[in-house]
Amino acid sequence: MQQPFREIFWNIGYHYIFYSLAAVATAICLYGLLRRWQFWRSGWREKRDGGFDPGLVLQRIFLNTSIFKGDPLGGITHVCIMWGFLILFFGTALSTIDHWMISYLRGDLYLAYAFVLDVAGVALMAGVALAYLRRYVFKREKMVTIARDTTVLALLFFIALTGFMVEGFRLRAETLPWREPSPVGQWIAGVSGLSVPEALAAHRLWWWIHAAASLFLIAYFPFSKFIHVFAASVNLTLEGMRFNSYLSLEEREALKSDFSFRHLVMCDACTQCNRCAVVCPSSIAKEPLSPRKVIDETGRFARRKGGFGLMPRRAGEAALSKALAKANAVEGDPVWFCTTCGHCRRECPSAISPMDVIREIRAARVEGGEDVPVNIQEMLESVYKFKNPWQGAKGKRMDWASGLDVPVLSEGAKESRCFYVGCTFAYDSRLQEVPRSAVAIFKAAGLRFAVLGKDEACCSEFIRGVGEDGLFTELAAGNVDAFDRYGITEIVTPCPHGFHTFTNEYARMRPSMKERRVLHVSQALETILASGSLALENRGERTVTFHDPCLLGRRNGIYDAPRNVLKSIPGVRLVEMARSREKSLCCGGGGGRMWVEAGEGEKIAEIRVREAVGTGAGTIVTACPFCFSNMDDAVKTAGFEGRIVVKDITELVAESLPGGKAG
Amino acid sequence: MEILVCVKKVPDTADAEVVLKQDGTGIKEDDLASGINEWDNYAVEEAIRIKETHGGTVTVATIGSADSEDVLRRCLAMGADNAIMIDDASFKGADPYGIARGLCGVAGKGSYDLVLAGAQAGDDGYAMVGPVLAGYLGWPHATLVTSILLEGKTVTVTRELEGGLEEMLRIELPAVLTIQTGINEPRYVSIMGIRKVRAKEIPVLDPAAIGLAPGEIGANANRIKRTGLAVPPAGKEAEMIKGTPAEIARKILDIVKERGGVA
Repeated sequence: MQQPFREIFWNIGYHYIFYSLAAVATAICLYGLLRRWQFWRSGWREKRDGGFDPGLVLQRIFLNTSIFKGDPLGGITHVCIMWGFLILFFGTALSTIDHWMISYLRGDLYLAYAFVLDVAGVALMAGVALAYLRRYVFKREKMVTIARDTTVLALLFFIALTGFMVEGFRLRAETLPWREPSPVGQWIAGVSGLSVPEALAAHRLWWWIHAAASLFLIAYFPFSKFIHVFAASVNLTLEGMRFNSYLSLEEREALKSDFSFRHLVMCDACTQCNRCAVVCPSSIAKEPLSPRKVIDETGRFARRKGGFGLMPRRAGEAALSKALAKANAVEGDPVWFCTTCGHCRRECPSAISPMDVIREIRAARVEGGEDVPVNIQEMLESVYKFKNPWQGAKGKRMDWASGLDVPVLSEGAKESRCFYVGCTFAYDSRLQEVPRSAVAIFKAAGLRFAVLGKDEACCSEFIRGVGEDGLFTELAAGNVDAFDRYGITEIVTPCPHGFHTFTNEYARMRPSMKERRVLHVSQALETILASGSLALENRGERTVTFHDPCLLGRRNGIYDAPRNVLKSIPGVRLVEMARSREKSLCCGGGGGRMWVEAGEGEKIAEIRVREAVGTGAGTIVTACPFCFSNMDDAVKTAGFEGRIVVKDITELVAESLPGGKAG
Repeated sequence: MEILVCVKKVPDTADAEVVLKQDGTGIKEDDLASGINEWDNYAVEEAIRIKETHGGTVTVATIGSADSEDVLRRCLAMGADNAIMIDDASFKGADPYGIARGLCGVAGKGSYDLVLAGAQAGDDGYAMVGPVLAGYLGWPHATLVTSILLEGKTVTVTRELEGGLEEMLRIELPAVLTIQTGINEPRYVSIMGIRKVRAKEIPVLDPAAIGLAPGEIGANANRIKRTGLAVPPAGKEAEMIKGTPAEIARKILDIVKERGGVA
């Protein structure tokens, strides 16, 4: 008996026409990919932090784990479309190899091949059908649909459908000595009710239609939303390779482009799924910022500027709209609303970071000088002049410690552990309680430390956040110099902003910071309390909820230390808000937002406080000066005074110290 | 349009606790931040805006020492084309007449159509250098300028007067204008911007180079002598309001109402 196989071009003539069209389509596709590559290459190069996580990259790219997160149906839809498409694409490529080079699709292998391709076709059509249902019937929360989405889905569906039709007509017309394991094809062959000559004619017609649609898809691929197949894979790989956009001032000065290679890849990788806008605190508060739009408009702008001329230009005039061009009203410019909470980045299945792109746009605005909100300018000028954002005189930096015996490095104390207080804790009269509490705890626990005193300057985390890289670098260098000068080996700070920038940006800037241990005060407290050297007393039964500061939690993965501290305080019961840990809602104060006027509606912090009140807790505990100030204000403005209070984690511990808080 | 802007570096005393020197001749500046005089910043911004609309060049000049270079660099980063520094020991202790003499030498060396200066300085607050300079140059001047409109060889300006009045003046160029704050919104000057002009040469002129004899400038040209500096004694009118924040707010409202502040 003849071995099962399929004759390529069975019933089809004019092969040269097909191959000519295929060559043209492939050439257009390769040209498009080349242009994309050139576009990405026009960006500046980022550097690596070191390390590589291949598992994560492969899982996200091939198993779509990051799409399943929080949206299982979305994951199934994507897996069906992606794997259906990939199997059919490479299956067809295999048959070409079989035709031209080595014949191997014979016998059982052919039968398996035929079956797998049939299943892939079903998966693809099912995936597309699900995608349609999600877009047009279920209408998933905040999903944005543009004409292009409908087009690409329709194209995929059409190709799969015509593929099955061609197969069905062939099976109807062909008399095979074996039964092909192609259930859908067999079914179509059966229900078509065509005679053999009719089936032959229908096969020929639909074969060419199927071929034309498939070749069109290949040509259209790099110019359509499908580019995300490449761009998202590249971006996830870059994420796994731990690239970061930190540059020294010298490097930044030599830049010839606005964005980095990775920023441009991100713009092409975005499929407008809008997951970022669903979690963005600014979007939630109905402010002008949508991270998705920023990426979309940045992409349009950069592609036009980069001369990627074949891009669809529809709505292209909006490219120079507010997100990027000189804003008419600086105060309404969306880029100033980003709190750098990092939720967009965490939520994005393709590891796109709108936050980073926004930072670059801000850097361009700051360098231009004219489109910077006045409050931000004043804050920057304060940091430049006074080394703190609150126009606090240098001589008053130690006011918080009045009456306490605190060793000061700039006044001769010799200690290897530095307690970095931070500007807001040092100058804000209410928040001065926090470093005072920390000092009381350290003393009770016998932890040796000293502060920088007059040598302490703003950590400048949010200075970098608003794009003033020059000022950031100057102040950061001054701080590292001070740490070096006093031989500091460990830094403990109550401020997550300092903690973040010391561990990340400072470490990229100066090697000596890599040698230093940096702890947020909640980590130091966790160690102290776990050691049992401090017996805390019960100051009454209280229910508290913990608000994760973004720069401690989501941006640096420290969720358990503060919770362990709270659980070690006798009488304290911890309840969680719906949005906690990595899903925590920002207080609205990061990324320079402390100095940007909020929108008209309910403020981000008010939304957060409402959520905290909903847990039944009487105290919102946080561990960040900005979170504290924002939520403390929000308790008043949202009318929750008397129902809930805001406290810093150090205050809560200090209150339970034996004999009360002692200086 | 060739514009000269006179700038000065001053200590920031707005929110600081000012401490007098022992001898009473000045204040201790060690712990004070310092930077460009606020009014001068508006003047530089205005000059750059005029240049951006009408073309020409903007030159900034200061009388100072190497210590003032950062202020000039900041102006260059803002968009000024040239910066000049006059450095001479004789300017130490100079009054507005002595300073204006030096600036007059600078203005005379170029072919400027317009000289802008801050309406006053944040430290000594004389508000004299502009008018005195105009006198030495023999040019017309206007003070407390809040808008500038150029029309050929004349300029129409508005001046801020007390009682919410505005005065409109038409002045023939060349002229000296002293700029009031609020005339514009000065742009932010980034450190990156300052770095980009760090290699630009700033000529340091000694007075002889601009044709000024040592005897006629600086402290030698002084016509005012400062005889003392003091912190005024605390008045007795102040009343400390005590109570909870709500009570304090209520009392403040009562006081404001009582004095006709609100209806």
